[in-house]
Amino acid sequence: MNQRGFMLLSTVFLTLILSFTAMLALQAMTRVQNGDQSLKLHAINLANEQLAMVESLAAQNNLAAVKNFNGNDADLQNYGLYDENAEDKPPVEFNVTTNINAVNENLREVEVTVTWNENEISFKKLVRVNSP
Amino acid sequence: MKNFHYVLRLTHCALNSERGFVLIEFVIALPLILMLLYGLSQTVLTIFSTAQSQAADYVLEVEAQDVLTRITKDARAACYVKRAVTYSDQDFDTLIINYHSIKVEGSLDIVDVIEGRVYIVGNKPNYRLQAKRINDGTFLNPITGGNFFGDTVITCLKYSKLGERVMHIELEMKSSVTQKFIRLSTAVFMPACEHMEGF
Repeated sequence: MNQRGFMLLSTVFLTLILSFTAMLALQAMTRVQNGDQSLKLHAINLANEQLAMVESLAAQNNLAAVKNFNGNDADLQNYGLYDENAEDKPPVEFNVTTNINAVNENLREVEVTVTWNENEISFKKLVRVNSP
Repeated sequence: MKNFHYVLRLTHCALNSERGFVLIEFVIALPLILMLLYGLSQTVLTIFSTAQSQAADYVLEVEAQDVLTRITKDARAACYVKRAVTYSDQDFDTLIINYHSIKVEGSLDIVDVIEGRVYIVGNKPNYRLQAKRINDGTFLNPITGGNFFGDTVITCLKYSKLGERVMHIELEMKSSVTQKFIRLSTAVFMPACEHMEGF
Protein backbone atom coordinates (compact mmCIF):
# COMPACT_ATOMS: atom_id res chain seq x y z
CA MET A 1 0.00 0.00 0.00
CA ASN A 2 2.94 2.34 0.65
CA GLN A 3 4.28 1.85 -2.87
CA ARG A 4 3.78 5.01 -4.97
CA GLY A 5 4.50 5.75 -8.62
CA PHE A 6 5.76 9.02 -10.05
CA MET A 7 3.67 12.06 -9.36
CA LEU A 8 2.74 14.30 -12.25
CA LEU A 9 5.02 17.01 -10.85
CA SER A 10 8.02 14.64 -10.81
CA THR A 11 7.39 13.73 -14.44
CA VAL A 12 7.16 17.39 -15.44
CA PHE A 13 10.45 18.25 -13.71
CA LEU A 14 12.18 15.21 -15.18
CA THR A 15 11.00 16.15 -18.67
CA LEU A 16 12.21 19.73 -18.20
CA ILE A 17 15.66 18.68 -17.02
CA LEU A 18 16.04 16.14 -19.82
CA SER A 19 14.94 18.60 -22.50
CA PHE A 20 17.37 21.28 -21.26
CA THR A 21 20.18 18.75 -21.20
CA ALA A 22 19.32 17.59 -24.70
CA MET A 23 19.25 21.17 -26.03
CA LEU A 24 22.65 21.93 -24.49
CA ALA A 25 24.13 18.70 -25.83
CA LEU A 26 22.79 19.33 -29.33
CA GLN A 27 24.23 22.84 -29.40
CA ALA A 28 27.57 21.71 -28.06
CA MET A 29 27.68 18.97 -30.68
CA THR A 30 26.98 21.47 -33.47
CA ARG A 31 29.70 23.78 -32.20
CA VAL A 32 32.24 20.99 -31.96
CA GLN A 33 31.44 19.64 -35.42
CA ASN A 34 31.33 23.06 -37.06
CA GLY A 35 34.02 24.78 -34.99
CA ASP A 36 36.68 24.63 -37.67
CA GLN A 37 34.49 25.83 -40.52
CA SER A 38 36.07 29.27 -40.98
CA LEU A 39 39.55 27.73 -41.11
CA LYS A 40 38.31 25.22 -43.67
CA LEU A 41 36.90 28.09 -45.74
CA HIS A 42 40.28 29.79 -45.60
CA ALA A 43 42.00 26.56 -46.68
CA ILE A 44 39.69 26.23 -49.70
CA ASN A 45 40.38 29.82 -50.75
CA LEU A 46 44.09 29.31 -50.20
CA ALA A 47 44.05 26.31 -52.53
CA ASN A 48 42.15 28.36 -55.13
CA GLU A 49 44.77 31.11 -54.80
CA GLN A 50 47.56 28.66 -55.58
CA LEU A 51 45.60 27.09 -58.44
CA ALA A 52 45.06 30.57 -59.93
CA MET A 53 48.79 31.20 -59.79
CA VAL A 54 49.54 27.81 -61.37
CA GLU A 55 47.06 28.54 -64.17
CA SER A 56 48.71 31.90 -64.76
CA LEU A 57 52.18 30.36 -64.91
CA ALA A 58 50.93 27.59 -67.19
CA ALA A 59 49.48 30.21 -69.54
CA GLN A 60 52.95 31.77 -69.65
CA ASN A 61 54.41 28.31 -70.29
CA ASN A 62 56.45 28.68 -67.13
CA LEU A 63 55.39 25.82 -64.91
CA ALA A 64 58.97 25.55 -63.73
CA ALA A 65 58.34 28.62 -61.62
CA VAL A 66 55.63 26.84 -59.62
CA LYS A 67 56.56 26.56 -55.97
CA ASN A 68 54.62 24.95 -53.16
CA PHE A 69 52.88 28.27 -52.69
CA ASN A 70 53.16 31.15 -55.15
CA GLY A 71 50.47 33.30 -53.53
CA ASN A 72 50.59 35.99 -50.91
CA ASP A 73 52.65 34.74 -47.95
CA ALA A 74 50.52 36.70 -45.49
CA ASP A 75 47.61 34.40 -46.38
CA LEU A 76 49.40 31.43 -44.82
CA GLN A 77 48.22 32.59 -41.41
CA ASN A 78 44.65 32.92 -40.29
CA TYR A 79 42.76 33.34 -37.02
CA GLY A 80 39.50 31.74 -38.12
CA LEU A 81 36.65 33.54 -36.41
CA TYR A 82 38.31 36.04 -34.12
CA ASP A 83 37.49 39.00 -31.93
CA GLU A 84 39.44 42.20 -31.32
CA ASN A 85 41.76 40.46 -28.83
CA ALA A 86 42.92 37.95 -31.44
CA GLU A 87 46.52 39.15 -31.27
CA ASP A 88 46.76 37.63 -27.80
CA LYS A 89 46.83 34.16 -29.34
CA PRO A 90 48.97 32.89 -32.21
CA PRO A 91 47.36 32.52 -35.63
CA VAL A 92 46.81 29.13 -37.23
CA GLU A 93 49.60 28.29 -39.67
CA PHE A 94 48.66 26.85 -43.05
CA ASN A 95 50.97 24.79 -45.20
CA VAL A 96 50.49 24.44 -48.94
CA THR A 97 52.12 21.82 -51.14
CA THR A 98 51.80 21.60 -54.91
CA ASN A 99 52.47 18.58 -57.07
CA ILE A 100 52.36 18.56 -60.86
CA ASN A 101 52.03 15.37 -62.87
CA ALA A 102 52.02 15.06 -66.63
CA VAL A 103 48.82 13.57 -68.05
CA ASN A 104 49.88 13.89 -71.68
CA GLU A 105 51.90 16.24 -73.84
CA ASN A 106 49.60 19.22 -73.32
CA LEU A 107 47.92 18.51 -70.02
CA ARG A 108 49.24 18.62 -66.49
CA GLU A 109 47.41 17.55 -63.38
CA VAL A 110 48.02 19.94 -60.51
CA GLU A 111 47.30 18.79 -56.99
CA VAL A 112 47.26 21.41 -54.26
CA THR A 113 47.10 20.21 -50.67
CA VAL A 114 46.49 22.54 -47.75
CA THR A 115 47.16 21.37 -44.21
CA TRP A 116 46.46 23.14 -40.94
CA ASN A 117 46.36 21.86 -37.36
CA GLU A 118 45.38 18.22 -37.84
CA ASN A 119 43.33 18.83 -40.98
CA GLU A 120 44.02 18.45 -44.66
CA ILE A 121 42.19 19.38 -47.82
CA SER A 122 43.23 18.61 -51.36
CA PHE A 123 42.17 19.81 -54.81
CA LYS A 124 43.13 18.67 -58.29
CA LYS A 125 42.92 20.65 -61.49
CA LEU A 126 43.99 20.05 -65.06
CA VAL A 127 45.94 22.82 -66.73
CA ARG A 128 46.85 23.10 -70.37
CA VAL A 129 50.40 23.86 -71.39
CA ASN A 130 51.83 24.65 -74.80
CA SER A 131 53.92 21.99 -76.42
CA PRO A 132 57.61 22.57 -75.90
CA MET B 1 -25.00 5.87 15.57
CA LYS B 2 -21.90 4.53 17.22
CA ASN B 3 -20.28 4.14 13.86
CA PHE B 4 -21.19 7.69 12.89
CA HIS B 5 -19.44 9.11 15.97
CA TYR B 6 -16.40 7.00 15.16
CA VAL B 7 -16.21 8.46 11.65
CA LEU B 8 -16.58 12.01 13.00
CA ARG B 9 -13.72 11.41 15.43
CA LEU B 10 -11.50 10.09 12.68
CA THR B 11 -12.26 13.08 10.44
CA HIS B 12 -11.50 15.48 13.29
CA CYS B 13 -8.16 13.80 13.91
CA ALA B 14 -7.32 13.89 10.23
CA LEU B 15 -8.17 17.56 9.99
CA ASN B 16 -5.99 18.34 12.97
CA SER B 17 -3.00 16.58 11.35
CA GLU B 18 -3.04 18.81 8.23
CA ARG B 19 -0.49 21.58 8.56
CA GLY B 20 0.65 24.41 6.30
CA PHE B 21 4.19 25.80 6.07
CA VAL B 22 5.52 27.35 9.19
CA LEU B 23 7.62 30.51 8.89
CA ILE B 24 10.95 28.78 9.38
CA GLU B 25 10.19 26.29 6.59
CA PHE B 26 9.23 29.13 4.30
CA VAL B 27 12.41 31.08 5.13
CA ILE B 28 14.53 28.08 4.21
CA ALA B 29 12.54 27.07 1.14
CA LEU B 30 12.36 30.53 -0.46
CA PRO B 31 16.13 31.01 -1.02
CA LEU B 32 16.37 27.45 -2.28
CA ILE B 33 13.60 28.04 -4.81
CA LEU B 34 15.17 31.36 -5.84
CA MET B 35 18.54 29.67 -6.37
CA LEU B 36 16.92 26.95 -8.45
CA LEU B 37 15.01 29.48 -10.55
CA TYR B 38 18.18 31.56 -11.03
CA GLY B 39 20.08 28.50 -12.26
CA LEU B 40 17.24 27.53 -14.55
CA SER B 41 16.93 31.02 -16.02
CA GLN B 42 20.71 31.19 -16.58
CA THR B 43 20.57 27.87 -18.40
CA VAL B 44 17.72 29.08 -20.60
CA LEU B 45 19.58 32.33 -21.36
CA THR B 46 22.78 30.43 -22.19
CA ILE B 47 20.91 28.11 -24.53
CA PHE B 48 19.28 30.97 -26.42
CA SER B 49 22.35 33.22 -26.56
CA THR B 50 24.50 30.31 -27.76
CA ALA B 51 21.98 29.52 -30.47
CA GLN B 52 21.90 33.16 -31.51
CA SER B 53 25.69 33.51 -31.67
CA GLN B 54 26.01 30.23 -33.58
CA ALA B 55 23.50 31.41 -36.17
CA ALA B 56 25.28 34.77 -36.44
CA ASP B 57 28.67 33.07 -36.91
CA TYR B 58 27.20 30.84 -39.58
CA VAL B 59 25.74 33.84 -41.42
CA LEU B 60 29.12 35.59 -41.24
CA GLU B 61 30.93 32.59 -42.76
CA VAL B 62 28.33 32.04 -45.46
CA GLU B 63 28.19 35.70 -46.50
CA ALA B 64 31.98 36.03 -46.60
CA GLN B 65 32.30 32.97 -48.80
CA ASP B 66 29.41 34.16 -50.97
CA VAL B 67 31.19 37.47 -51.60
CA LEU B 68 34.39 35.74 -52.70
CA THR B 69 32.52 33.20 -54.83
CA ARG B 70 30.53 35.90 -56.66
CA ILE B 71 33.51 38.12 -57.33
CA THR B 72 35.81 35.32 -58.47
CA LYS B 73 33.09 33.85 -60.69
CA ASP B 74 32.42 37.21 -62.32
CA ALA B 75 36.09 38.13 -62.64
CA ARG B 76 37.01 34.79 -64.17
CA ALA B 77 35.45 35.77 -67.53
CA ALA B 78 36.61 39.40 -67.45
CA CYS B 79 38.15 41.11 -70.44
CA TYR B 80 38.98 44.18 -68.41
CA VAL B 81 39.09 44.89 -64.68
CA LYS B 82 39.53 48.21 -62.95
CA ARG B 83 40.22 48.92 -59.31
CA ALA B 84 39.18 52.23 -57.81
CA VAL B 85 39.26 53.64 -54.30
CA THR B 86 35.75 53.89 -52.89
CA TYR B 87 36.36 55.99 -49.76
CA SER B 88 39.75 57.42 -48.95
CA ASP B 89 39.33 56.71 -45.23
CA GLN B 90 38.19 53.10 -45.57
CA ASP B 91 39.77 49.84 -46.68
CA PHE B 92 37.33 49.40 -49.53
CA ASP B 93 38.01 49.19 -53.22
CA THR B 94 35.50 49.38 -56.01
CA LEU B 95 35.85 46.71 -58.66
CA ILE B 96 34.66 47.20 -62.23
CA ILE B 97 34.56 44.14 -64.45
CA ASN B 98 33.84 44.29 -68.17
CA TYR B 99 33.17 41.29 -70.35
CA HIS B 100 33.11 43.31 -73.55
CA SER B 101 36.35 44.16 -75.29
CA ILE B 102 35.41 47.84 -75.56
CA LYS B 103 37.12 49.71 -72.74
CA VAL B 104 35.87 53.23 -73.29
CA GLU B 105 32.34 54.00 -72.27
CA GLY B 106 30.06 56.42 -74.10
CA SER B 107 29.02 56.89 -77.74
CA LEU B 108 28.14 53.26 -78.15
CA ASP B 109 25.95 51.80 -80.82
CA ILE B 110 22.66 50.43 -79.59
CA VAL B 111 23.85 46.88 -80.15
CA ASP B 112 27.24 47.62 -78.67
CA VAL B 113 26.40 47.06 -75.03
CA ILE B 114 29.11 46.85 -72.45
CA GLU B 115 28.23 43.94 -70.24
CA GLY B 116 29.89 43.99 -66.90
CA ARG B 117 29.64 44.04 -63.16
CA VAL B 118 30.48 46.68 -60.58
CA TYR B 119 31.09 45.79 -56.95
CA ILE B 120 31.04 48.59 -54.45
CA VAL B 121 30.73 48.72 -50.67
CA GLY B 122 27.95 51.00 -49.46
CA ASN B 123 28.61 53.85 -47.09
CA LYS B 124 28.03 54.17 -43.33
CA PRO B 125 26.64 52.70 -41.19
CA ASN B 126 26.01 49.39 -42.91
CA TYR B 127 28.99 48.87 -45.23
CA ARG B 128 27.18 46.31 -47.33
CA LEU B 129 28.48 45.01 -50.62
CA GLN B 130 26.38 46.09 -53.55
CA ALA B 131 26.56 45.10 -57.19
CA LYS B 132 25.20 46.46 -60.41
CA ARG B 133 25.39 45.38 -64.03
CA ILE B 134 27.10 48.38 -65.56
CA ASN B 135 28.87 51.42 -64.19
CA ASP B 136 25.97 53.82 -64.68
CA GLY B 137 23.32 51.24 -63.80
CA THR B 138 21.21 50.83 -60.73
CA PHE B 139 22.40 48.94 -57.69
CA LEU B 140 20.77 45.62 -57.02
CA ASN B 141 19.85 44.59 -53.51
CA PRO B 142 22.80 44.45 -51.12
CA ILE B 143 24.63 41.14 -51.23
CA THR B 144 25.69 41.21 -47.59
CA GLY B 145 24.06 42.33 -44.37
CA GLY B 146 20.45 42.58 -43.29
CA ASN B 147 20.14 38.90 -42.43
CA PHE B 148 17.60 38.26 -39.67
CA PHE B 149 19.93 35.77 -37.94
CA GLY B 150 22.87 38.17 -37.78
CA ASP B 151 23.74 41.41 -39.50
CA THR B 152 27.23 41.78 -40.95
CA VAL B 153 29.44 44.65 -42.08
CA ILE B 154 32.39 44.63 -44.44
CA THR B 155 35.51 46.03 -42.77
CA CYS B 156 37.99 45.41 -45.58
CA LEU B 157 37.71 44.54 -49.27
CA LYS B 158 40.90 45.04 -51.26
CA TYR B 159 42.00 43.92 -54.69
CA SER B 160 45.58 43.66 -55.88
CA LYS B 161 47.55 42.11 -58.73
CA LEU B 162 49.24 38.89 -57.67
CA GLY B 163 50.57 37.69 -61.00
CA GLU B 164 49.97 37.89 -64.72
CA ARG B 165 46.17 38.12 -65.10
CA VAL B 166 45.77 37.11 -61.47
CA MET B 167 43.77 39.26 -59.09
CA HIS B 168 44.13 38.82 -55.35
CA ILE B 169 41.05 39.52 -53.22
CA GLU B 170 41.24 40.21 -49.50
CA LEU B 171 38.05 40.34 -47.49
CA GLU B 172 37.34 40.99 -43.84
CA MET B 173 33.83 40.98 -42.41
CA LYS B 174 32.43 41.53 -38.95
CA SER B 175 29.30 40.18 -37.31
CA SER B 176 27.22 42.90 -35.69
CA VAL B 177 25.82 40.32 -33.25
CA THR B 178 28.93 38.59 -31.92
CA GLN B 179 31.48 41.30 -32.91
CA LYS B 180 33.63 38.54 -34.40
CA PHE B 181 35.68 38.96 -37.56
CA ILE B 182 36.45 36.64 -40.43
CA ARG B 183 39.28 37.25 -42.89
CA LEU B 184 39.45 35.35 -46.15
CA SER B 185 41.76 35.78 -49.12
CA THR B 186 41.83 34.17 -52.51
CA ALA B 187 42.93 34.80 -56.06
CA VAL B 188 41.37 34.39 -59.45
CA PHE B 189 43.04 33.80 -62.80
CA MET B 190 41.35 35.73 -65.62
CA PRO B 191 42.48 34.04 -68.86
CA ALA B 192 40.75 36.51 -71.19
CA CYS B 193 41.76 39.65 -69.31
CA GLU B 194 43.44 42.17 -71.61
CA HIS B 195 43.95 44.96 -69.14
CA MET B 196 44.08 45.43 -65.37
CA GLU B 197 43.73 49.07 -64.51
CA GLY B 198 44.43 50.72 -61.18
CA PHE B 199 46.26 47.74 -59.70
